[in-house]
Amino acid sequence: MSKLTADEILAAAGRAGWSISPARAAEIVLAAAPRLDGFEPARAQLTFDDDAAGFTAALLALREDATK
Amino acid sequence: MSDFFSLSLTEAARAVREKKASSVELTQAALARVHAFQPRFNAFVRIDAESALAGARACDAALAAGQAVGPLHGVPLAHKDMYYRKGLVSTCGSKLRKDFVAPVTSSALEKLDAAGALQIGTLNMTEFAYGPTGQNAFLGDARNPWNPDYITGGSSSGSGISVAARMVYAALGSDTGGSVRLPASICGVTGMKTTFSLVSRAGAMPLSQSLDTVGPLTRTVQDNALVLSVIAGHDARDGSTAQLPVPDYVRAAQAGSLKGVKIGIPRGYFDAKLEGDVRAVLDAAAKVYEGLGAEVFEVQMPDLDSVNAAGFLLTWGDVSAIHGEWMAKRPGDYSPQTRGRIEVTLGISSRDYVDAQRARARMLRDFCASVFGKCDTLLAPVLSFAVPKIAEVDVTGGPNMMRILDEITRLMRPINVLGLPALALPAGFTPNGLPCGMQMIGRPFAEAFLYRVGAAYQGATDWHARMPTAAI
Repeated sequence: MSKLTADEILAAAGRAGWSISPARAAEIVLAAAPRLDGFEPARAQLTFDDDAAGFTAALLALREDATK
Repeated sequence: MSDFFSLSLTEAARAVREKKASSVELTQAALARVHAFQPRFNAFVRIDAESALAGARACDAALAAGQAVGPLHGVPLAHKDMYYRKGLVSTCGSKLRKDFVAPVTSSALEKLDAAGALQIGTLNMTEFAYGPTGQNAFLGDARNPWNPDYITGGSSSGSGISVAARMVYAALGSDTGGSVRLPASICGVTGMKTTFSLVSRAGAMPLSQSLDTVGPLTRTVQDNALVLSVIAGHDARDGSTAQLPVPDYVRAAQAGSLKGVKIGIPRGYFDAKLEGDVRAVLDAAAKVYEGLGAEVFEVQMPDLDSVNAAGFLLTWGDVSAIHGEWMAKRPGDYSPQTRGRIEVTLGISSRDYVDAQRARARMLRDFCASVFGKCDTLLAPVLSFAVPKIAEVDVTGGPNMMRILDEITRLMRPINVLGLPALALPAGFTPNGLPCGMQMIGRPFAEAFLYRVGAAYQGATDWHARMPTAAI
């Protein structure tokens, strides 16, 4: 998965109406990089059927037995 | 009775019910401590003395008239300044909301009101709850009651201080990436990060709707169970709340044997970068659990670096959306540190955010299978190092800031991504004289079980009963 470039971040800031300097955009690229790299192993496991709504269902399915 | 603040919440509520203390006496005593300590610790944003005393008089009158009373009748509390009360200002820790008058009362406060609790004010917090140290350029930094030179932890900074310094008997915090557990651990009190969807967030300021949870900070596990028993449960105003019956948390929170309980000591992730002084505290806690009959053994952690990374992507996506308009129109009204952290949210794409959402169920299933297939709860550190001084983390938005904040929250965030409950307990002190806490992590909706484990620990130790030296 490719990361955003400083130019893309500047463009995104422009669309949002945020004021960001080119130097700050470069810093943001560096700040985001380890998070995105860290997530890659999890992303690599995703399949077509992984569903964002599945999380709350999983919480309920895996819940502690309240009588314990 | 005169030493009202030696009482726990449970004891204070009982004293009012049994008319051994009046609500007015408790409230006056609380306000006296608040006024005495406010210049030193900066725990409060607003002190509602008149309304609290009026409420206390009404509580005493109701009791005298023989009316039915709730489990928190007449007991003074205070809450993080992000729980809305209709008609009053909730600053959310920011200049941007200094004049924001809440249009509704939060469901959590409504439930506490219905239980008879009083609110004597609102509490300091990190700006928009987005930061783990307790610093706030707008409200002024919160100060640790054990030593004002040290951080309180955040974002529920005032909640940690006010409970630790015996100003109030309990306080609500919120935990998106450690904001209950960090101030609880750093101030030496008990805090519950609740299972995602257990407690309604209606009328509470959002930081990241994907991760936000509401939880109480108290002196004891029993007190914590008492508050959670009031605020937990489905709420029609918050469609994300689970439709499950609320267990009897108070009954669960009784000290006793832990024979048959399996406690895991995490190997991998949680022990990386763990300093020796913190490790010694946790090792001692493990010995206490063994003495209580629990089986304590090591459990290898699955990949939590990717879970932690997912937490950033989820938070950034939510924060970017929530703060988008203000960042465009009023960026100068944010503190530099908060504005800097919000700017960083531009570093991910919508696909990154959605993929993190899609990964959560798989992450939770994998974690439960690999960890809770072996043990009932994990005994894990909260911070990997001793509590730092304010001066050591005061990096005002530079690149060093992200590195420090990352390490403060590293052991917290995965639990929010997984949605699990975690009970922070005082477990000792490091050589700098500051408290050192631990977190007991459980399966989804295992709060009752964690209270049992925590109550057993507090029955065998007195860390939770220690009084901050600066607040005597």
